[in-house]
Formats: sequence, structure tokens, C-alpha cells
Amino acid sequence: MNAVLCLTTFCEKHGPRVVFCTQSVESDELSALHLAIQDAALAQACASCASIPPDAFLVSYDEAAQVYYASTASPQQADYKWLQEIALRSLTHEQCPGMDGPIVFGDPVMGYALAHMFKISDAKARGGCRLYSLVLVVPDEVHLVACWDVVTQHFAAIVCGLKAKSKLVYNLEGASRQLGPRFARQRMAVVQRSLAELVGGMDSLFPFLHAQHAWIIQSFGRRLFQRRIEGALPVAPAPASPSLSQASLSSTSSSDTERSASISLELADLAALVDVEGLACVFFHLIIGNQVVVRGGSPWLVSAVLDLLATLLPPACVSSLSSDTYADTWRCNLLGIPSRVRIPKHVDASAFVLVDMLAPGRTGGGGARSRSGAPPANTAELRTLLAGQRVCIVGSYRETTLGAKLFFAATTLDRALVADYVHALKIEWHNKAKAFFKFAKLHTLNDDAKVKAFLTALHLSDSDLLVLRFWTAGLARPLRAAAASSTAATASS
Amino acid sequence: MNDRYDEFSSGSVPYGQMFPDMYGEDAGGEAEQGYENKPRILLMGMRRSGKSSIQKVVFQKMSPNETLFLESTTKIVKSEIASSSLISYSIWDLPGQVGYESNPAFDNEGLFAQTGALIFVIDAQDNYREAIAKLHTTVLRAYEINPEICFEVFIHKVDGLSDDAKTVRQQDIVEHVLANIADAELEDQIQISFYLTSIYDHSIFEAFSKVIQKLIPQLPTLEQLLDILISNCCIEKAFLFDVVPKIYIADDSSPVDMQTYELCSDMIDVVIDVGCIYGMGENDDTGLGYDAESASVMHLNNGMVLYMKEVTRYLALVALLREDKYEKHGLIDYNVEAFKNAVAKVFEPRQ
Repeated sequence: MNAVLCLTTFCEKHGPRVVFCTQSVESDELSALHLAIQDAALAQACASCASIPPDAFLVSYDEAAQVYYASTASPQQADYKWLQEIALRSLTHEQCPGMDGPIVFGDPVMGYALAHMFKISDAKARGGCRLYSLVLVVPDEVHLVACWDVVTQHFAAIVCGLKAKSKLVYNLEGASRQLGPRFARQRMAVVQRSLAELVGGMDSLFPFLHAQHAWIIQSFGRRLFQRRIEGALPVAPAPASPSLSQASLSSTSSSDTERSASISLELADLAALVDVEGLACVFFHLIIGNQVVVRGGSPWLVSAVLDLLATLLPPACVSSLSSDTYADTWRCNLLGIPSRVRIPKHVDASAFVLVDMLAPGRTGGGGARSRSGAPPANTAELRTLLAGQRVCIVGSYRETTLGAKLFFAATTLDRALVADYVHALKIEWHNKAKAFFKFAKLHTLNDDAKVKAFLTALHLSDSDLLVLRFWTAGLARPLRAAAASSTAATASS
Repeated sequence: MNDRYDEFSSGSVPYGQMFPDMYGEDAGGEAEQGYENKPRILLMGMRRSGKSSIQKVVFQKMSPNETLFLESTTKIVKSEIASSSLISYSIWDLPGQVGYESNPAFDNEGLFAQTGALIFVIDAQDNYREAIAKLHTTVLRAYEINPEICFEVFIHKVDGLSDDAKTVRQQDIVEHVLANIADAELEDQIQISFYLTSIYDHSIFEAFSKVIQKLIPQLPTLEQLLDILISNCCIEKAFLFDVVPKIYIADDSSPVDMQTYELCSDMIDVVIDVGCIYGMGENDDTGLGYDAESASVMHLNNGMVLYMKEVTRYLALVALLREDKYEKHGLIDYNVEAFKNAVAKVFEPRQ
């Protein structure tokens, strides 16, 4: 949603209404706008809610930003409802002293609005005046408040001009008010007039307002800059299943790339094969960054399992390798090796977990087939292949919060929900890692009491510290720079 | 709310316990006493039907002619009738253009749940078909949330109509409204009262009196006290007035004659006006010219006597009696003193 600037009025007949609405549109949306206002033309409008003709719009082009600023009489279909609600709220709910001045209100769903209410004198209206408000609606509260000075100044300037003009018209018409109460009692018909009539500028008012609105939106847009500092994480995975992520260090097994991307395993497939202890063990080592070694006869199967495990980690934390020989832990955290390879004796047994997939009959169907080199044609075949394996997991583990949640996802959760759940978990822990990174910048990690307090604040246990350390390493560099600078600012202040 | 009314109609509860129960228990403890727990009166209706005018004329002493220059109400205007009078309630004046009852964005539970009475104002001089439709949806919505609400319909601005036209309009409106309610098969549950009102005469005060009376739990007690008083003093008619808005919160059980009410109401005006000029005490913080000494007797040229006496700080007893019955006025004074003590006991814990 972009910034939207509206003029709203409290219509004597229809209550609070948006009467003039300016927003930025891309060039391709301009024709859609044209269609939209054809529909809007059908909406009822009395004289006091009228502005420009309902089937017309005013448009300006900003060459630098390559956008159009279009003003219409009523908001477009998609925005109609919530903008009317904003109008309702600005005119009938929010209170500002004397009903004349700026206020900010809003919520994350509706957006935040800076409204400037004002009254325009009208000799023929009830009470001698009509209530209007200029409302700027934007999605971001902080940004809106940051622009408070600029926007309120310009609103005040516009309002001041309108009031001065309306005063002239009011004085000219003032004679009719001298007629006394009997006259007033008999005058039942309400005279509905638009703002343009009240300020005596039938043709010039709305083009003027459009220019002013467009300028405010444009300058508001210029002050806004968005910086994306973290990679692809917030993008949800395709709903079907976790896709095969590209292994960043994939050196051998060039035939991997030929495999169809639609073939993949799900967590539940793995959980079906592995015993409870083993699964928890794999998750534990995976999420704290220890090496997970997958050893098996079928290279397809091995890489499928590696890919599956890789989806559980943030992309930056994954270094996956399929090799014919053992690779040290510092080279990769996901390693796939053929079944004949042995783990060297010097490797610390607690620093890795071995997922050993043993084909029950060496000469059996699945095994023979995989050795023959024909890749599995689809996911079902891959599953059959996996089901034929006897998986043996060697390693030890500790309870962690994230590990327990992954375990829940693999064993209990409905298959359809697993991808979303894992995605949400990843975002959650990514954010925890950010917090931990800032914490580590501000305090030394040697201070046990502070670390303890930090973990308690996040509802985590000691063993989760290992997870946080690893995930912090996966934060993208720009993010780390931003976090570091923000903590530096906090520390200095 | 249910409990509240039941308790008082039984009449067996000692006076001292009445008020704490009234405002405390059913609203969740003493801590919440105050603004939120007061009975709420909603003024609803179509735009330009005269809601704000009613509120201003009855409670803010605005002259009826001045109401022509009122702006249209854009917000809910809440006014509390607590500081200036004994019976505390708040009046909410709702803008007619905003469909509070039909827009799901509004918190209808919050609006109707605490409401004691809903006054729907219909402009009798305007086309009222739309108003009747709005009344219908409003009543159904409010009843759904709070079945205890008293529904009052003011057929307003009847000053411009002849007596015949008034009757015709009233019949027409009552018929339509009741038919709508009957269509919804709620005619047994929902009671709606209708009043012909105008801000240019006393009818609006009388109608408001009736509405307020429904919200006063002590009403049966007060009525009984008045009945005892008039039978012992041979009074024709007695009212207990709230002097600030000039609405009567109780009268004896004989029927109310409009002219009598107007007389009594005018008498209060006279007494207060005279009081403001000559009777302002040094420590009169109300600025009302009305205190414990306020009393007045007026002999009318038709052989009647108007008798007024202060009862409590904001209440006055106004009675109409024949001149020959007023001969023993010492006795009447004594009886009124007894009545005053009894009323003081009724309201004791609030002061």
C-alpha cells in the first residue's frame, strides 16, 4: 500500500464520506484506474459529497520516480471500504481541540492516518459551518510521525487558504442570516453544497488540491527509503513441499543437477524410518552446526536427505557437500558419502552425527537399481527407495527448544502444515539470532548471569545457546552491520 | 440490572442498603462505581430529527429558538447528569448519519449493554418511513444485546401540527413500528412507549420525566410516600421535581394533567428566578438560588394554591391544592417536613 491522501467531509445526508482521493499509481495501473472509476460513477453522491465528476480523474506524472499521481472523486474499489472507515474515524471518533488541527491515529491493519480536521463556514449549513478533514494514510507509523512537521505545515497552509476564501463567500452571503428564527424554522430544506462552492472556486479548487496532494505524496515518498538487509528468508516456501535448495558447495555429483527439482522428501518420510532417539539426535547436531554425515549406497537418496536437512536451516548456514571421501567438519556441515567410506578415527565422535543408510539386501531390488545409476523418476519412487533402507544413527544429543519443535513437526504435525511450520520456526529463530547478535555486541558472553537473563527473557534453556551461536553465524553481512551500528548507537547514548 | 429492579419492587430492603447494591454488585464491585456504571440514555434517530436540541433544551437550558443554530452532531456527545442532580445518569447523543446499529465496525455490545433507555427521535414533520426502518433495526440489535433496555419513541416536532394531524401521525407511526416488531415475532418481549414531544412546550420535559422515572429504582417508594402525603393533606396533585432539568422524578398515583404539570414547572422557574435575584446565600456553590430555605406558596385566581418546598438539595415538592384545604397550613408544613425526612432517608447513602 502506498500513501493515500483524501479529503473527507461529514455530509449532512450520508455522514462521513471520502470526497477526493489522491494516490500514486504505476503507469500500468492507470488503465485499471480508468475502469475502476467507471464503476465508482454509480455510487451515490449528493452535492456536499461531490468533488470532481465521478467518472473523471486528475493525473500528474512524476518523471523522476516514474509514477503517476491520480486523484479521483471516490477511492478505488479495493480501498473504498477501509478509506471510508478512516474517514468515519477521523470525523466522528477522534477528538482534537476545537475540531481544528492535526491528529494521528491508526492501527497496523488499517494503516496510520494523519488527519487535519477543519471547519469551513457556510451560511446555509446547519450551525453555519461544515466539517472537513484532510487525511494522509500510510502503512508505517514511524515514518508518518517523522514527517509530522512537513505534512502538518502543508495541511495547515492548504486549510488556511481554504478558510480565507470561504470567509469571503460567507460574508457575501451573510445577509440571509439576519432574517430571524421564524424564517429559520420554516426553512426545512437543507442546502447541500460542495467545498468548491463554499470557497468560490468551482473549477479551480480540485485541480489546486490535486496539485497540493500530489506534491505532499511525492515529497513524502522521497523521504522514504526502504533497505532490505536480510536475504530470502521471509519468503514462504511453495506450499507443496520444501523445494530442493542449491547446495552451495556442491562439488562432485554433477549428475545431481540433472535431477528433476520436483523430487524431494518430506520430514515425515525420514521420521517414519528413524527411531525417536535417532531423529532427535540428527536435529540436535543439525541445528547447532555440527556435521551431519549421511552415508548410503544410493547417491540419489543421500543427496535427497541432505537437501531435506538443508531446508531446516537458514540458507546462509548451509554448506552441503557430496563427496567420495570424508571431508572435515570445517569444510561442510552437511556431508554425503558413499557407504564404503569410513569416518577417520581422529574425528571427535561428539562433533558429528552419522546417518547410516544400509540397504537390507546388498543385491536387493532398490540397491541394485540405485547402483545401476538410474535416478528415481518421481517422489514416490524416491520414497520407496528410502523405505527400503535400514537407517542407523550414531551420536548423542541434548534437549533444545528448537530441536523439540522440529521433532514435533516431523512426527506429530500434519504433512500439509510442516513446510509452513518449519518456515515460521526459521523466521522465529532467525529473529532470536538477531537479538542474540545484538546482545553479544553489547555484553561479553563471559558474564553468565547476563546470558542467563537473556535466555530467560527469550524463554530458552542453556542448551539453546549452542543453537543461537550457530544461527548468529548465518546472519547476512549487511544485517550484521546494521545491527552492530544500531547497538553502537544504543551503547553510546 | 435485573437484580436491581427486583430488589426495589419487593420493597422490603432497608433504605441504607439500596444504593450500594444498585451501583456496586451487578457491575462488578465498588471499584467501578462512577461514570461507567450509571444508567445510560441513548438519543438516537435520523439526522436533523432534533436529538441534540432535546438534550440542550432539557439539560442545558438552551432556548428552543437557539437550537436552530446548532451544528450537526458529528461525534457521540456524552453529558453526565450527575453533578447537578440527585439521580445520576449519562445521556449520549449519537449522530444520526452514522449507522451505529448496522455497521459491524462499531462495538454494539459496549454501546447497548450498559444502556438503561434508548430514546429514538422521529421527526413528525418529515417523511418518517426511513426513520421507522432505522428504528426497527436499532431496536432489534439493541434487544439482542440487552433485553433490559427500555425503548422510548419520541414523535418529535409536533408543535407545527394540528391536534388532528398529531393523532394521525402518532397512530400511523405506532402502527408501523408495532407491525414491524410483530413481523419479527417479538411483540411479547419488546415494549415500546410513544410520546408526542416538542421543545417549544412542556411535552419534552414530561416525556423525559417518564423515561427517567423508569430508571429510578426508588420510584415505587417515592410514589407511595407522595400518596400518603396527598391523602393526609387533601392535596389534589403532587410532584417531586428535579429542579435543574425541571423533570419530575415521581408523582402520586393520580393521572397527570398536562396543565397542572406546566403550572408546577413554571412555578419552579419563578421561584428559582426570584431566588437568583434575592436569595443567593453567601455559600451557595450551586449558583442556583435554591437552598434548604426555598419555599413558596402561590394563590391562583381560580381558587387553587400552588405549594412548593425544598426536599433535598436538588429535589422540590410541588403540590396543587384547593384554597379551603390550605387553611390548616401548619399541618401541611408538618406533613411535608415528615415527607422530607422520609425522602432524605431514601437517598441517604448517596450524599
